[in-house]
Amino acid sequence: MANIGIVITVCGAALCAILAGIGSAVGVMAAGKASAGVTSENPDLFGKVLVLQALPGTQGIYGFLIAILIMVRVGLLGGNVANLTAAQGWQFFFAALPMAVVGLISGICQGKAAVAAIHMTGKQPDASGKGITMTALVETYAILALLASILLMFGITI
Amino acid sequence: MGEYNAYGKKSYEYAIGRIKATSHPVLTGEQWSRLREADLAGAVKLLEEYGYPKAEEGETVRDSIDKEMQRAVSFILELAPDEELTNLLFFEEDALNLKLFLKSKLVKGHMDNLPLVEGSFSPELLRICAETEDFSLLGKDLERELEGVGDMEDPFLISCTVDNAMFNHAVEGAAKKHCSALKNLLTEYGAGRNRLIRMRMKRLGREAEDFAYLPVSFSEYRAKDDKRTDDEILQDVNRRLSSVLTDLGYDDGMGVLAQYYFQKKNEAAALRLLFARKSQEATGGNDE
Repeated sequence: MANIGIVITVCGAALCAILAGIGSAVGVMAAGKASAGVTSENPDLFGKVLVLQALPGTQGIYGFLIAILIMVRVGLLGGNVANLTAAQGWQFFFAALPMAVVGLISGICQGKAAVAAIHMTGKQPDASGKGITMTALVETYAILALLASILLMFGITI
Repeated sequence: MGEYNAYGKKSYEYAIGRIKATSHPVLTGEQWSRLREADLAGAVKLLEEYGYPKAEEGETVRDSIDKEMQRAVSFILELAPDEELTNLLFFEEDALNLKLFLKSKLVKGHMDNLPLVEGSFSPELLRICAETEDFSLLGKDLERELEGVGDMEDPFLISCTVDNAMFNHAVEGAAKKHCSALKNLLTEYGAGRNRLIRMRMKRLGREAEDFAYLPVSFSEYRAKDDKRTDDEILQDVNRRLSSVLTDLGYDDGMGVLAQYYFQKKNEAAALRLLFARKSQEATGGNDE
């Protein structure tokens, strides 16, 4: 019988990368549209709005990081794959969930915050710093989810 | 359909971004103060500084204001994600053009040189409708609302019927598109218009007929307005409309486009009044 534990673990890692990636893609897309609107009227603001557009992209990176860490932990990247039970597989699956779910939602929410901040920058270019701070606050929850996923993952005994 | 296109250029994020960063924003309170304090020549110069087009030879400042308004309309139409919804903003302009054609027909006048304004319906289409008295080309709801308007001989009745039909068309269109921001704005605008109509009719010692009011309820204001002076009513109407317009600024969709258009429209109307008064003062006329 195939190593069911590894199958479940891989599903968790893939889900984490996929959902967090989707969250970031949607967020960056919305912010990109707002940036395009502002920049087409005032090209000098490109640098300021670019930072804001990039902010929702971090969730995708965190999701990717968790997926890689899980793969390293179970030996998928080292060539020496661990023989996991189904219970261990589910443990890895659920360890990946905080980053997967929070990455999806916070990526979209941060995108919305970035859109508002980009619009604010369009109206008041000097307020871009405040906009970055406001948008970056959403990041807190993605970082907390990242920490939760890392701690859960390293707490699993193989 | 533009608003549903996730990858298209015309999204509300893009449109709002352009409006927020436009080099032709609505005049600020400080700019208005400077315009009010300046004399005619100074105010014309200030208006150019604020981004209004320079009046060409033989043109007046009124032409500059009209050009700026045309630019604002073109700007909104260019970036509108939902053209159908955006067209509803121009209900007053459409009503004005249709009234011109219908009244011109009534007096058997020429329809070639009418002072038309830019609206959502093409002037040719409105002209055909007025000439043939067939309004089906404007859509089913307008056809129903405008039924019989071709037979009317009272210009006042024609005006009211067309105004009400176009207003209803806009409100119903906003409701069909589930655009509560635009619907709220139109409802408040209509209620304000009704209160001003009633105020003017009272000044003339008359009570307006029901058809003279736009089809939106304003009964909650009637009793209060009876106890207010004209200035107080005017201030309250302005305050309520400003409040709705300010709220629209926080919308993440059509509201911001509607806000920009209505603010520009109000600005143009106020500037025309300001410069008319300044011209009168400059020529030594009585400004009262």
